[in-house]
Amino acid sequence: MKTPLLTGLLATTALAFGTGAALSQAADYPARPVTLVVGFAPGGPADTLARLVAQELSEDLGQPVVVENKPGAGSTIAAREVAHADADGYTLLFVTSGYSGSFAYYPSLDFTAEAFTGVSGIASTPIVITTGPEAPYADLQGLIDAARAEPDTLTYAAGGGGATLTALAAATFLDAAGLTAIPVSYGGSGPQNIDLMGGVLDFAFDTVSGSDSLIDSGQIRALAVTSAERVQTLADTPTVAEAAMPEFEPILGWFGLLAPAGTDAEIVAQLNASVATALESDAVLTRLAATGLDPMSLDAAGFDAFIARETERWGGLITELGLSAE
Amino acid sequence: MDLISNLALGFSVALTPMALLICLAGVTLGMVVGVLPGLGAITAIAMLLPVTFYLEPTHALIMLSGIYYGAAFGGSTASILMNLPGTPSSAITALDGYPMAQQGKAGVALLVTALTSFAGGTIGIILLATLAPALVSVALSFSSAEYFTVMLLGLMAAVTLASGGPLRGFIAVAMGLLFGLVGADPQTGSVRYGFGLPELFDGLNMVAVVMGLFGVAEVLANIGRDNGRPSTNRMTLREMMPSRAELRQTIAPTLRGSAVGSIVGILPGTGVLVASFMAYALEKRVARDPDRFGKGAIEGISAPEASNNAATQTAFIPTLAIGIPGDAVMAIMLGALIIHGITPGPTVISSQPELFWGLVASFWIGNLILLVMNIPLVGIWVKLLSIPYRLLFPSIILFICVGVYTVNFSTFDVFVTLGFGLLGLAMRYAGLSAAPLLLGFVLGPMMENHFRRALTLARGDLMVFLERPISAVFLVLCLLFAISWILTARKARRARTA
Repeated sequence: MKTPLLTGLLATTALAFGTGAALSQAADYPARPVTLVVGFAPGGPADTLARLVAQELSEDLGQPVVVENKPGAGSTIAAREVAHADADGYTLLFVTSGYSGSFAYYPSLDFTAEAFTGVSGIASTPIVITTGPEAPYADLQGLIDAARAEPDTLTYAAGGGGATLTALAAATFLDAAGLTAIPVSYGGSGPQNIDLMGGVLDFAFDTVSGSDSLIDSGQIRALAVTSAERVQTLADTPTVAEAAMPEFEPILGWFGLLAPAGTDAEIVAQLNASVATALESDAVLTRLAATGLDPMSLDAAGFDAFIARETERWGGLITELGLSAE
Repeated sequence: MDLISNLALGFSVALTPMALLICLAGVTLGMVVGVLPGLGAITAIAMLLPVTFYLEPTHALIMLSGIYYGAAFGGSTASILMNLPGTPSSAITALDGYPMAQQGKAGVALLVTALTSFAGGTIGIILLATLAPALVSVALSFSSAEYFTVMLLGLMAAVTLASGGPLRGFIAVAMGLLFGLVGADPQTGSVRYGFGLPELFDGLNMVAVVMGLFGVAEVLANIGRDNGRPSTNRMTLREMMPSRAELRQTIAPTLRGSAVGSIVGILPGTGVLVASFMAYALEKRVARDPDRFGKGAIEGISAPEASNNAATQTAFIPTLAIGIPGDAVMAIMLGALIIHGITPGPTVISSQPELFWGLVASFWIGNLILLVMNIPLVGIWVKLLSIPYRLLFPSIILFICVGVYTVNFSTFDVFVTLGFGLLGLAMRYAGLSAAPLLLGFVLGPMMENHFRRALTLARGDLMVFLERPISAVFLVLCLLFAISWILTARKARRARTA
């Protein structure tokens, strides 16, 4: 409750000295607390990672980096706020892969991807294809054969509905494998895993962090991950390309940092370096490893190019599938 | 005895000075955030999670769970004293707790709450300690069909707890279900009733709805009635203590409530909330004089409080033993376990005995701390009531607005709160209760999800709800509820014509 007030006061003070400060903006940065806007409710995986990174950034920048949760509307409420914020490096946006689909999924947003510039990637994670402990298929090829033999019969879950990356990955996989199956809508990992364990559901798509502890303890089985290479947490699980479909274009979920477009390039470079330092700290690496994430260090230009490719791929698929929030 | 040696191990972990200190810190912090409107356990736990990375896993969990039940108790305190429930389950406590406070029995209500919470929690703990492995299979046998029917039963219970008869309760539940429709369709993601406002895409904010219906409506209803408060400023310990008769009155409801809570708490996702509603409805059904409920019946606070505390304990079963969190708070705790390299699962109890039994013992110690801490605190809480309305009301509204704003940093939510405040006022004039509306609002979206999921899994066959035995039992119970309404209504009509 105190923080916004404090930030407000500091902002007013900064405004009073504004004209003089503009010249040496990059040299003084950061002269006051930085706000990191997160489009998710406190406590979820995205928020937890954001808070951890914010803590590391605070130490490296020498100014507090304050997490502000603005959940809602597929995190476009948070994005909108940052899109309209001053491009001074004091307001940053924490984004996930969902960002790349949001412009196609929410057609009436009053800002575009041009409103942002990439700062840095933070971490990436594949989608994992899972099945119940007693499912008849031994591997991914077995699942594909079974689903081809009986089109529109097997049931599958793909996290929350709509245009989440899990749902888009499921659509991409089924299309590439030439399968049809019945989608069942679940709110998230928990409920769909209960039904996998209970044998009610045939197969599922999930984030690694949502399923890996159950995979470890043998309560559900992982058939494949959608990344280009195997991931550390699920070292025994093959990639989709290894298991059945060599041509499969990898799919990654990711987390990253954006700033309003027009932010001084030196400030962006400084933030990028701070994130890189954070990604080497033990606290962050332990957290990433525990939740099935791999660090994703990219320079600002590289991250921009990555987001552009993602936006084209998932935005295109959303349009093609006719998905829309409205 | 296995259990005794296990518990001894647990207490040896939980009674170390560090563990006690952490438990005390967690419980105290939880109580503070629980009393403040809007700031719930989730926010506090999320903010403290980074701190727990530096603690050892058992201590981290003790702290987080301390916040969790501390907040639940703090929420009850605010609903009894000021009709300001922060969560739907403490809204139930407000139904009879607030009238008691107005009759000058706030101290009694608070102490009964503390005592019955403690009793309910203890019963839940005993079950957790003895039956956890067996209960896992029960939780796993629940699929969407069962969830849908148990929630339907919850709604039937909500209809019953309305004052003024089932028809009014039914109207309130239906209104709640309608408000619950706002937001993205769970299956397709298209927004319903969003009116192009991005703030509505995820539905109405629950905290805003609760605060409006209860807190704001209460203030609005009392404006202009400033005739001072019943003088409660000087309370001796004797006056706060419930009388023997009152204590005797709470024993049976506490046991019934604990039983309901322990069973319902095992279900991931629905447990704690449905538990308190069902316990209240059960009390009202078995009571000889159901009319006293809603007007300060002591059973009306003891049963749901015992129930939600028992449920809070048994809610740990799916989290620890299957690795599936029941709610957002549990999800965060699960995350904390995983960070520390502990994989939840059926083996966690045998592979991490210090953690599991230490946690069990600390639940008990934490509940005891709450009870002890609150005996002196009750006097201070009650003093709040002696603040004149003209000072108290503006501060309550201010706290509500600030509290609701901080949940999502959204001014839109503040207006939602005020809007629901007006609705709550209108409902009072129309003789409708807010609690059934709230339960409809919270359960509606979940029920829709489970209903559609159960039908998809059954390839569209409606018979699935009758073919699965547990689900069929719940449907029969729903039918019994409906029959009892009809019988009551006919009796009432006959009495009128005669």
